[in-house]
Amino acid sequence: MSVSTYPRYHSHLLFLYTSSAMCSPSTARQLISHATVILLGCGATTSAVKCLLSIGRLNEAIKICSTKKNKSDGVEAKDFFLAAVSNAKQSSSDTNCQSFYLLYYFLQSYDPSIFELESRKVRVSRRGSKNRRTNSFMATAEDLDTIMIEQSVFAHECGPFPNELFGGKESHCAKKLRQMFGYGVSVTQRASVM
Amino acid sequence: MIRIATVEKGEDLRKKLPPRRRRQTFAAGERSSSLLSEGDDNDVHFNIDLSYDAFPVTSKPEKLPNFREGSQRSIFGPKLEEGIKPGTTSIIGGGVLWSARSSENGDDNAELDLIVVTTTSVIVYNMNMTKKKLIKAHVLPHPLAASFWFEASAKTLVIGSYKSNLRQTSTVEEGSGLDVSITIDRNFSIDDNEEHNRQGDSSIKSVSFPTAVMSMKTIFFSKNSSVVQTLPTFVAGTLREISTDDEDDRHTLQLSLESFGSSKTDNKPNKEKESNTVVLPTEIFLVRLYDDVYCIELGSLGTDKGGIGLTKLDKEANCIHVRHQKLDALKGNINEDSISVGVMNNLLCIFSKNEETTYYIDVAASFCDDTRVMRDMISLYEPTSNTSGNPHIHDDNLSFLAPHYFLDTNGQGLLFEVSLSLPQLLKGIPTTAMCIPFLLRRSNSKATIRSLIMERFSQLIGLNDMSTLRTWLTVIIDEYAECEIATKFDVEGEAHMEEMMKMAGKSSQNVSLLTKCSLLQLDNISNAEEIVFGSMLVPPEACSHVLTQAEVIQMILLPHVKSAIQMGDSKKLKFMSSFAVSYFVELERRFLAPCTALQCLVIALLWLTGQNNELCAFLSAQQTQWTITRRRRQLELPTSNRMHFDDPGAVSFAETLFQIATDCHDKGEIPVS
Repeated sequence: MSVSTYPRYHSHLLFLYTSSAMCSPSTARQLISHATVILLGCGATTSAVKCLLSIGRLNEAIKICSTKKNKSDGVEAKDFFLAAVSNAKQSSSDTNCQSFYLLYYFLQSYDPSIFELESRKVRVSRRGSKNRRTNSFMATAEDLDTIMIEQSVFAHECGPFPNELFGGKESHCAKKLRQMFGYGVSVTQRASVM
Repeated sequence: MIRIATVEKGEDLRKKLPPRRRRQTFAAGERSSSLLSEGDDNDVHFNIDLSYDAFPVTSKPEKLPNFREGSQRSIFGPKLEEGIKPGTTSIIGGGVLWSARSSENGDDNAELDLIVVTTTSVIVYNMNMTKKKLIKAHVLPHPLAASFWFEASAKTLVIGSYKSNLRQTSTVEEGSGLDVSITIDRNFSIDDNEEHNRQGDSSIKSVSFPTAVMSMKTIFFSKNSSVVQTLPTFVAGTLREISTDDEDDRHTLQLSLESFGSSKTDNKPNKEKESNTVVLPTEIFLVRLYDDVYCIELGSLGTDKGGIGLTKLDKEANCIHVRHQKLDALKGNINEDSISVGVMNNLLCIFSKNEETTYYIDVAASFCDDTRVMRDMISLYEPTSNTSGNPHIHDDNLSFLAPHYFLDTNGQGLLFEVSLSLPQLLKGIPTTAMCIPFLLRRSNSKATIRSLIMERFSQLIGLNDMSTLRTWLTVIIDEYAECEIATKFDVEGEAHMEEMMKMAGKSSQNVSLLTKCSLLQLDNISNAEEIVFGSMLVPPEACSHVLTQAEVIQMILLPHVKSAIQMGDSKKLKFMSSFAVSYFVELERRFLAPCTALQCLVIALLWLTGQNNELCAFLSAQQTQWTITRRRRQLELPTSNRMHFDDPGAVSFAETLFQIATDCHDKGEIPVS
């Protein structure tokens, strides 16, 4: 199943949904719980975790993976992080801090290797923050430079840290989390990772 | 000497035969006789001399041969032979039958049997082509026969002999507490009202039965060996009630073994009564339906009630099964010129020229004890005035030839083969009559049958008749439960389908049933025509007589759900939701596993129609059942329940449930945990 490309309802169905019927969120929760039980019962843990993450049920996905000794094949730390970022957009910064702390401690046990530091070549903008183009795709070859940066594997793969979810890049919480997740300070401040 | 057969390509055979053996004859009674060749043409004629009598005896079915003990007639000569009674035995008209069978080596039609049906016995000769010998294999004696019937495809021979019915002809007073139907269930086709009236009627009414009935002896010839099997003798004509007018004269009916051919046959009024009440050979037919042989008796309940007697000759169980059904068309005297009996599409057809009506009887339904199923005969009135110059089956100049041919005796004598028009036949069946098993038993194309079934269901759904639909479901599921291939197909079919889908890749034209049942992509729910003609899930031929879950979903549930959604008809959608839930519940009630597609459809429909409580209860019930089942399995206790992981398509099903729930989530209606 391609989780990221869920089919959308036909317009006729949408009519019905919007007109009256549709089940309540609590029913939807029960439906998801039912589906999860089936998947876990069938041994399709990866599929269950992927499905849960795709709909933002991070805690349930973490709970499932926590009971397993080994990392689930096909579910990367990045998937958890992206789900957490997606959820955090609808929550306050305090709540987000809490959930990212939890995520960090989970990922440490889930896949400790992702926090190992690694030096990779990163293409960064030469210009200062004033003239820095916000969109990296708009940067010309002259604007970019390649430098060697040491940060965690996780940070290399996940891209820039979402400082805005924690009250800005200068906030204590953001700084702390960046450090925990192994983000290099200089890069996160001014570079866009390609 | 009777020339009984012509064997083609006999020239070679004739050359092989030594000249001295030509033109020899042999008697029927001889244990072993040589084959002979005769004639100047290229064909070889095998002649068997069965009679030394210079005056052959002819007989008609309605006129019995007049032989009595002590007659001076000598048919087989003075030599006493097994199965031959001098002065009595004669070959019944048409009683020389050939029956090919496979040899012991398995070669098809390698052996040929000659069956000679005489008035006192059936003599079976085996023709050994290698040894050029005709060997008398069996002699099966029977009481003096009036007629015989042979069903060639099933190699079944039935001999009818009249016998006295004096013990049963004593008057039975209704209401006196005596049960007149001790041996045969004659209440089967009698209306409840009529029966009630009968019981409530305190007046004593005399019922009497004919003095002579027909004893029927059945012989099955094997298709691959010389062994013959016989059934216990049964009797026809026992339930022919003599009407009140006839009662006074009933004692004059003296058609018994002793009176055959006696002076009483000269009494014309008695003869008329006799023909009214005593079963005649022309009223009996032997037909093959659904690979079983049935003996049909017209007017089996007497002239007042008409009726038809169906006797199934069960070779496997070595017994007979009898049913009598009322048929008003057969009231009074049956005119054999007007009534013909044939077989079309495994339906017994009674063509009535006088009424310009054809009556269709499905013996499978007649022998079914299920009152939910339509068991009535279907009548189709086809007036000859409606034809536009084309020949009509009820035309006077068309003669019926069994099992389903009509010969135009005018002009050059065209032969017509008639076939059954199911759509036309269905017009004579009420909308609420449960005729789905009837339809599934027909040999028409699968597409035709499926479309007709859909039509019948659509009519009921259109009427919002949930009560009848539930009854239909129970019948469908009962039959489905007995077909192991069908249940296996539903369980394993989905898994195979999923695998196929993964291999073929998903496209708009290649969508699994589970995806269709999620109702996520309405465009992918095939329309009715696609379901019937281009279905991917085709059940095996062995379960064509039942409706599988996949078929019910594809043919009935999905098309109506789609139309309800397209029309924005939430009422109909709710109706279909109830219908799907009923189907699910009935399956579980019989310990049958509902396929994942049906589970998904039920959930999707409950979801769409906003039935929160029902959906939650549904999910909770399933989880509780799993918990119980898991616990019982842990304790090694027996359980017929299934776990979710027992279903091959469970993973896809669960993933689809996520998709259904996600729609709500996309709108931000589910709070993120």
